[in-house]
Amino acid sequence: MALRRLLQTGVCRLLASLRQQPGGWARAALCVLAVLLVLPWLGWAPQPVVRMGKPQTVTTVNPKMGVHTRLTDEVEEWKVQRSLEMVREMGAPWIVEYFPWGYYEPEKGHFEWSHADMVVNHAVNQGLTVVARIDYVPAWARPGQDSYRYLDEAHFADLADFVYAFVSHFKGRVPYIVIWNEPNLSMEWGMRPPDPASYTRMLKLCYQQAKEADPNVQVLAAGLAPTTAPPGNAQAMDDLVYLQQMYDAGAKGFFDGVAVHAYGGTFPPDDPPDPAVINFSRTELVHQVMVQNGDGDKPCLITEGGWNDHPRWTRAVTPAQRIEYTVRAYEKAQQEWPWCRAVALWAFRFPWPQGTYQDYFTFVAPDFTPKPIYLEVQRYAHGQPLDMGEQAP
Amino acid sequence: MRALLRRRWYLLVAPVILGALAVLLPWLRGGAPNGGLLGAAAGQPRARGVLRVGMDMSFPPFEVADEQGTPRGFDVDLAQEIGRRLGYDVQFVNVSFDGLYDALQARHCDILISALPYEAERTRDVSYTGGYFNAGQVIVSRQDDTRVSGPADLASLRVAVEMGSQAHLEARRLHDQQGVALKIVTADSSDEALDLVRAGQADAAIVDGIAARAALHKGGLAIRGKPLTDESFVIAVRRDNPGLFNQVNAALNTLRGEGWLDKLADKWL
Repeated sequence: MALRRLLQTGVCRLLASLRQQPGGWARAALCVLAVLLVLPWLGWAPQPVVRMGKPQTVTTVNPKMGVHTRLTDEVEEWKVQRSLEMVREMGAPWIVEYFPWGYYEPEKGHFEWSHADMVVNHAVNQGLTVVARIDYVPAWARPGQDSYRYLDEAHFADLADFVYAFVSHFKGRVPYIVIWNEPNLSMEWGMRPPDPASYTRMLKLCYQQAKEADPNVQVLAAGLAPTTAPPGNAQAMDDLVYLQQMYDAGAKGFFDGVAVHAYGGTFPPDDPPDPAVINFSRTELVHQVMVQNGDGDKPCLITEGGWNDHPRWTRAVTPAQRIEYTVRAYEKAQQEWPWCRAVALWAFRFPWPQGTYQDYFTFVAPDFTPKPIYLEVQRYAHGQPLDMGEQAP
Repeated sequence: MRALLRRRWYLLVAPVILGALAVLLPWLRGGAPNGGLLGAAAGQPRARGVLRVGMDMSFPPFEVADEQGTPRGFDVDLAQEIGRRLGYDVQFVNVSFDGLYDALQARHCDILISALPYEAERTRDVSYTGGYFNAGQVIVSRQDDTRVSGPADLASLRVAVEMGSQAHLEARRLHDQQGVALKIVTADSSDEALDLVRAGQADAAIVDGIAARAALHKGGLAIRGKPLTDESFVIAVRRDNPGLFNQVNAALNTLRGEGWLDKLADKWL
């Protein structure tokens, strides 16, 4: 950067002096040509100019449709914009995006919002509603701990302070925040046994600070990993049990809704809910826990979920099934689940191939090629019949 | 002068020693074909006489463990043949697909042979051999139907694909981007797409190379033209092990040149 700036300043001065000499324009042109030849050698390449453009709105027959984007690690602005344009063009008005605390507050009280601003501004301009997932502990808030999922109670107030800063900064642009991710898994809870009472204390502090910053922001309790882990398992706690224990610890009144992770596995979306089964309809059981605790009027928002069509993964379905199940899932939430406000499925696109089964959750390839599922969901969102080609007899 | 040389003899000797080190060090570190002296001492295959092959044994017919837990399949035979030709005993390390590269980097195995596609993003950490089987999308039609010899000939024909698959994407690309006015017929699987061609309910199918080769054995069908996409399976070796990489790549080239790989494909696909 410094070299480039030095070069630019030098070139400007040189051009100015050349212009004052006879025949200076020709020499100046030659200089410009030389600089243009040298710049690529210095690693500089022209970047596409990104203009925000006119504010857009999403056209869809199903206003609950959404996707979880992964723009946290997307560097180039045009790619962020193109991703969000494609979300809008698909007909999904909701996105869930990950905003790692550690990226935006590298030192206590020092905030760097530039990338987050860029993502949020493009999302808002595309007419999308942003749900922000907040976690990832900066190193300064977990002294001596390697896991960025580790936060001891002494530092809960630091997270709450960040939530206050985040909500204040994005007031009017980010209406929903999710506090933490899947705390019912040990690996998401700093490699400690899941502890719903401790998470509830974290949630309470964050909720109070969020409302202090903006009374209108909607605070969601963390999406829990759907699991049927038996009692006493140190690695995971059953999500339904965990949510009940949050209520038992006094969580009621400290969230405005619950984030839900609704993965279908190999089951269709209409597979009936069963506490012993991980399927899409397990969302109904989460809602049932809320009803049992007097929170039936609060919404669930699916912030992760869906089906995978990896050819080598045992929990995957065929690509055709994935299309059918995904469209039906959006439809089911719209028609049958009035308490479910949004269905943001995992994951719209990764910035680069993951080289794992994760690539087969996506709607769009890293190079922005839309997968058949994208095109079919788009047709559904625009009220058109699915384009299955000529059906086999 | 002689007195000076006696006092500063090291000025003459030093360049000779440095030159020798420059030649020998790469060899000691593993640049030699057998992994080098230090490499061998550090547990390279040559030292042990065992080549540890990482694979996910859940992908028939390329690799699967039978009821006794014995590995079987295309990749298993390939690994054993490479080991035989290089003078190694082969030991299989069963790793889940997503953990293969981690197992290689953690030195739990020496190479990966597991129907792996080439991934440019990983070439910072691993070296890939040339491809040994192209699983890319191909056009298949009935053996007695000679209308199709390439994608352009699909215009106005009914082309069966598995709904939502890479083949479906490829058919749409041909239609939308290359202007081939084909009619897409969707099926629930590649096998069903091929059955539609056999039954005359579709004129051609686009399926991956594995499904296509398997279908040829049932008879009545033929692959038409070159693959539409390149999804070659390759062998991965750690980048810090160029000696082993050179050995394996050379062995693979020999097998390819001898037609051994084609026979292997005929055996398993």
